[in-house]
Amino acid sequence: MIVIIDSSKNQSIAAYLKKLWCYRNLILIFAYRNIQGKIAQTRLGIFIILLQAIILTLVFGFFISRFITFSVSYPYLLFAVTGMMAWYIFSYIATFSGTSIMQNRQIASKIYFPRIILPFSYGLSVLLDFTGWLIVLTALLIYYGIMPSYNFWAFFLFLIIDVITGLAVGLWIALLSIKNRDVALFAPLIIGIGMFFTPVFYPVKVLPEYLADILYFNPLACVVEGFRWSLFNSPFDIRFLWGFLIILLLFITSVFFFVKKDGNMADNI
Amino acid sequence: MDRKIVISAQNLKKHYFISKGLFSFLQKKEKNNIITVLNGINLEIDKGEILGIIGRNGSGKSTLLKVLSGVTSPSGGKAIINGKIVSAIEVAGGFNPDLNALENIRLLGRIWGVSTKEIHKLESDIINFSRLKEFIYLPVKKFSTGMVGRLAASIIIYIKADIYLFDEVLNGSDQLFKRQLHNKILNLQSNGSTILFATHNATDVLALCNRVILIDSGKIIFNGNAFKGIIQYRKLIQADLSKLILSQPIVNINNVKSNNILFNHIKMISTGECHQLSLTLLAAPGFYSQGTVHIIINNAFDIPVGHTSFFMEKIPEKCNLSCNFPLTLLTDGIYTISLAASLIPEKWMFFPRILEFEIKTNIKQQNDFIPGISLTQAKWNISC
Repeated sequence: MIVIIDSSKNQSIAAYLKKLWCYRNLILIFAYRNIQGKIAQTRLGIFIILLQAIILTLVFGFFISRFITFSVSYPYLLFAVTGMMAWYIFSYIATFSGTSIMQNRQIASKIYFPRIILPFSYGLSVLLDFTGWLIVLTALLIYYGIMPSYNFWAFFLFLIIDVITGLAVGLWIALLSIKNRDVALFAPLIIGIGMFFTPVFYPVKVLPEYLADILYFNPLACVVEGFRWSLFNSPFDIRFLWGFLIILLLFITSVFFFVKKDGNMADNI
Repeated sequence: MDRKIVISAQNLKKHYFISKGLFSFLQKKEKNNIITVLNGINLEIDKGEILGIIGRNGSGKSTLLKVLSGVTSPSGGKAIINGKIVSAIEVAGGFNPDLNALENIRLLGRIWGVSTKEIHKLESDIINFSRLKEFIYLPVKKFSTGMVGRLAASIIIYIKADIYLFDEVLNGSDQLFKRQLHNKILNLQSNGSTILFATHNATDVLALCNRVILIDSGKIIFNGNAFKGIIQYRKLIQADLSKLILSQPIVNINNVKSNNILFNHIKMISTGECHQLSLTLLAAPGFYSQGTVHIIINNAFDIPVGHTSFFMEKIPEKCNLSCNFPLTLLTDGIYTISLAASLIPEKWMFFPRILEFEIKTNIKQQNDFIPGISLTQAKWNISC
């Protein structure tokens, strides 16, 4: 095995992706590490992650949905839970992968591996949280006696898009906060505000026309509505695909710049 | 024998840019905001070598290892590495403090590309080697610095690789572990691995390294014999040393004192082969009945290599002492003199390194700077 160490200017994207492929096992290992780190020193262990979804749903179902409801063609609780699931997966990945380089700087500045693995690993470890939501969702579907629609195949497709959206935003946060931490500090705030601009708790149709138009450019609106379409066959506006394009653009550019920055990352974190 | 080069670095350079303020990205990369850490390193390392890397803090040792291990890319130049590399740079870095030692062994092993199966085989070896058997279920955050270092070094050393990079691994670990690690490193070498060992510690270098490179402000200024390298390193620290004349004391402290006793007018005169140390002893009256005065000669690594003692049946209030000792026994190098006194009633007094001097002979065999006593009586035989 011969390795040539060269200045980062000469690093090509293809070579980096090839290296990433060699180190693909590491994504799994870091995902495992993320989960292990999260449940360390807890009594409930892995159930604490599953419980989060259940508790959130219970609180919402018993309290909040009594005061705020919107009429949709299927139970409102299902509407909100799908929204919350999509939003939770996104915000988990975006916040954690955004700070992943900073959080793991001890390891990233001492051991060599393609560092894009760190943010990517959160895209995988979110699957445990997702399992929690899936359990809640299945339970609710059985409770209300609703069969998923024939679009169900797209459910996992939208899950992947959801993960990619989270990664794209997370990678950009990570990139912008390598040298200066300003972005990383504001990111959770902005992501939090972002929830109000996404149809998590309200249907798009309650909005005035001009606001709904803006919503089409929100990548996450595409995901949320996509989930609902795949489960309940609710109407899916084709204009939401604008969001999908933005996701792709964000993701590809973030990976591109990340690869370019990787070589000197250890100097700044 | 075939020579196989495992690491070859050509003109490696590394700069850091300092940026300040809100609009730092507008700054041009000018001279005054560039720090050069590596300034053209050329290096070839053979298979099976143990290379010591010494230098002052911030001279670029760690950066060189980081560049070679791929953690950070160089700003210029190139290095070719032939073989699998593992590195222990500020070793404890890879640990997750919340997980226990065993979990950390598994994780770190996997991060270094060891399969789960192999780790299960290595686990017990690693735990035995690190002597942390009682603590393996304790979260690593509760470990002491020495224990963390020991655990990390043990993991690295059990991973199969062609090249090992160690950066200050022995900081904070005890003498026993040091010995263990030295033996293990020698073991690895005999199996054909190459080891790079960056340290400040002269004894580690002398105990292990076949060759030493001395780095200063990003350049290799010495490459070769470890003894000579360390002398060079010492000279670097005391830049004035080279200016001094043969066999002259370098540091001169005029008086040293402790409770009730004082040495002053300490002077060393060199006359050819003989050195005379003279001093005045002042003691509080009637305090000590008798005692012994010791002169201890330490080598450049502060290890005592010789001493001479003088017993006094009665300690007067004031007396002049002088001692003549031949220095032909000692080889070239820097030596320091410590003074000590053991007095009755029970008291041990020690004044470390009160004088420093250099011996420079022009005998050819002695130019390798091997410290200690030269055995002039030894007989050699050659048969071919």
